Amino acid sequence: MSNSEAILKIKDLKVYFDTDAGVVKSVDGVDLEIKKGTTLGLVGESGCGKSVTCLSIPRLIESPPGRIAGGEIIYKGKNLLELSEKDMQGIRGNDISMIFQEPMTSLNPVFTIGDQIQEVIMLHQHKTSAEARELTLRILKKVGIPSPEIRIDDYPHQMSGGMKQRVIIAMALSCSPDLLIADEPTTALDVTIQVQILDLMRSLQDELGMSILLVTHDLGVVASMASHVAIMYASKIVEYGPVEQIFSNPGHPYTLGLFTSIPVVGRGKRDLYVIPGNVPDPLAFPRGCKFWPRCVFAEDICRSQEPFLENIGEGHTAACHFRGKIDKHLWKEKTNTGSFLNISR
Amino acid sequence: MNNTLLEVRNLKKYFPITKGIFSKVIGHVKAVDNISFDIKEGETLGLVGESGCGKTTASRVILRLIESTGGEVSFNGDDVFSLKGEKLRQFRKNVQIIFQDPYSSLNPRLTVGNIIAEGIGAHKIATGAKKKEMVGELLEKVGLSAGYYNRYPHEFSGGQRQRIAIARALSLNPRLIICDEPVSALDVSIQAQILNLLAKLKKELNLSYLFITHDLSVVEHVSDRIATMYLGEIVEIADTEEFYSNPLHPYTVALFSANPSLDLAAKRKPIILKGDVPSAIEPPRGCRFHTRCPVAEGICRIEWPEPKDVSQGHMVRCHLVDKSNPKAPIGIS
Ligand SMILES: Nc1ncnc2c1ncn2[C@@H]1O[C@H](COP(=O)(O)OP(=O)(O)OP(=O)(O)O)[C@@H](O)[C@H]1O
Ligand code: SF4
Ligand SMILES: [Mg+2]
Repeated sequence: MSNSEAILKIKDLKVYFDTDAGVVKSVDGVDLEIKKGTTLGLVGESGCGKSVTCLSIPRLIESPPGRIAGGEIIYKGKNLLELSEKDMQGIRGNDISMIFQEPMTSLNPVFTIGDQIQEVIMLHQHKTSAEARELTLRILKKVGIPSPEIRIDDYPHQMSGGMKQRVIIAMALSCSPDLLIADEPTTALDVTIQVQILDLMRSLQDELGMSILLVTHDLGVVASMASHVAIMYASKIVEYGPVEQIFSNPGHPYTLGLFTSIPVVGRGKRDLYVIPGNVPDPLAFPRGCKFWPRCVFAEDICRSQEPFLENIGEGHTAACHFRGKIDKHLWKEKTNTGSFLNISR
Repeated sequence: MNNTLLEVRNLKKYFPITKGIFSKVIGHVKAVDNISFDIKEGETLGLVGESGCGKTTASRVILRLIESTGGEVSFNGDDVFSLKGEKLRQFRKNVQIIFQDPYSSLNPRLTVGNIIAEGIGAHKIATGAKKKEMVGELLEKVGLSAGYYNRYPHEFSGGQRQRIAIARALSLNPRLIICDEPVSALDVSIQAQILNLLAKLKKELNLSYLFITHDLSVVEHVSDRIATMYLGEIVEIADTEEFYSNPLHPYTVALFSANPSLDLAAKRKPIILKGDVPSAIEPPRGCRFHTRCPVAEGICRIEWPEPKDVSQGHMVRCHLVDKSNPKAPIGIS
């Protein structure tokens, strides 16, 4: 598995926003890798920089105030940050598709869904409008819209949330992308609709072989969808690896904290672990490791030196000065919540 | 044995749908249709279900924020819908609510202190320095500093605002708090703080909660008993342990199966329900769930299933559950 080819490699990416209050370092040295045909789950709390990371891949960061301040985004061997705007447009339409976080705002209320999908198709592919309509019907059917011949002329408000999300997926798939970036695609949906959409994404992936970057704050969604996970905290990736590794043997204190702070069915009613303090203000990140003010293991070195992602296992990296030494056993001793980690049998 | 605090019997709320300039009523949204449950003193009842199934409407009717269409609610033995004067004032004090969105539920123009003190003043519990002291104590009880009195909601994070909302709810010394998705808008690490706080307060103050949520992991963590709601009806209710070890209604089972599990070993194939929740305007005949139910049979399309008590405290509404040998008609594979 480890030597399968990466479709996307992000190296030391920095995305900054110049605001009146100062420079917001929304993404500050992110490293990521997505292997071909697999799903990478990107997990982290609100404001940690997940959406900005996603938007920077197809270069959709609004500038100003935003700017890519450094790093590389290597897609199929090419650094996207060095492409001309024209070449980039070609990639956006044909190679990389994105599903945005606010599903209800990504459809235009004044056009029928059919018109909107056709427009995307005609913008990026040389098709007549009759051909585009034909293709639209096929895609709507593929994403499980019942009676697409009728629904194609619906306006967004005539559809339920789950239906709209299917339409958005249809639109993203209309160009058969090789990489789909899905930013919280099911967060606004009910659980029984969420499984429908996740199942749809999984089967389309099997069929089309696309790679997926899936942003979510739900570790359960990651478990059911992803082969790899990246845990993001305060504008950086703090742990990365195969999902089995991260779930059975988390190695970063933040990941350990996340796993022990969520209620898990069957764990009983004892208190949940609470990661002390709050997420730091991106205008005033702490020096050294950004997690130290909340970390139970922090020592002097953490307050002065920033740790970088380094190996702690096969394809498994963590950014912590004590990487490899901290594990669930030590966590249990330190916080008395280690038994919470027996989630994966 | 604890006393029953809240008793809800055959509660209904229909919203009329009108048309034309004379507002002719052409139908009804049956948002809540014949629901019954009890909450005992010191007990948490979890209410799970998807958006639009009537959870919030039910709580609003119970609080008398909107009028009921039928049925009864009694609180501490009193008929809530006929309460007047002092008794009604006491009821409004005794039953409080916390909402999902900690951003819109606090008045942005009032200071934190005034938000919390509002009820204390209105119910003439305390004034002046005594009132301020009470607010300070409440702030500390929910894990905030008493020094926040003169600050405004926008200066606080989502988790802190939810604490302010909890302090406000506690200010009148209630017996029952309706928690309407209180942690759904919060990040996981903040969610843990609030869940722990609610558990601590329940123990300290012997509070009861009606805990509304769509999250099956959260609801197990907080509840003593759980009810599943679908299209305005309660289709199953049981003690938490029984609910999780022996779910019977196909909809409950499907919800479990849809709940994203952290257990990688359990790579189960989720039960995928077809389509969307039907409209509550013309709910399906027979069992309301039959249009999405993977095991529905002929009778389900025609006859409305009566509630069946399959064991002590375990009620289920499904034709296919056999009362003498209760087994779920569908399993999680
Ligand atoms: N246009 C902008 N101008 C200034 N700051 C911005 C802008 N867009 C994003 N940010 C800041 O960048 C940081 C990361 O934001 P981002 O939207 O990537 O977070 P996220 O991880 O996607 O959070 P969520 O889970 O809430 O979606 C935040 O502090 C945010 O306020
Ligand atoms: S580097 Fe130090 S502060 Fe940061 S996570 Fe590791 S132990 Fe904690
Ligand atoms: Mg985001």
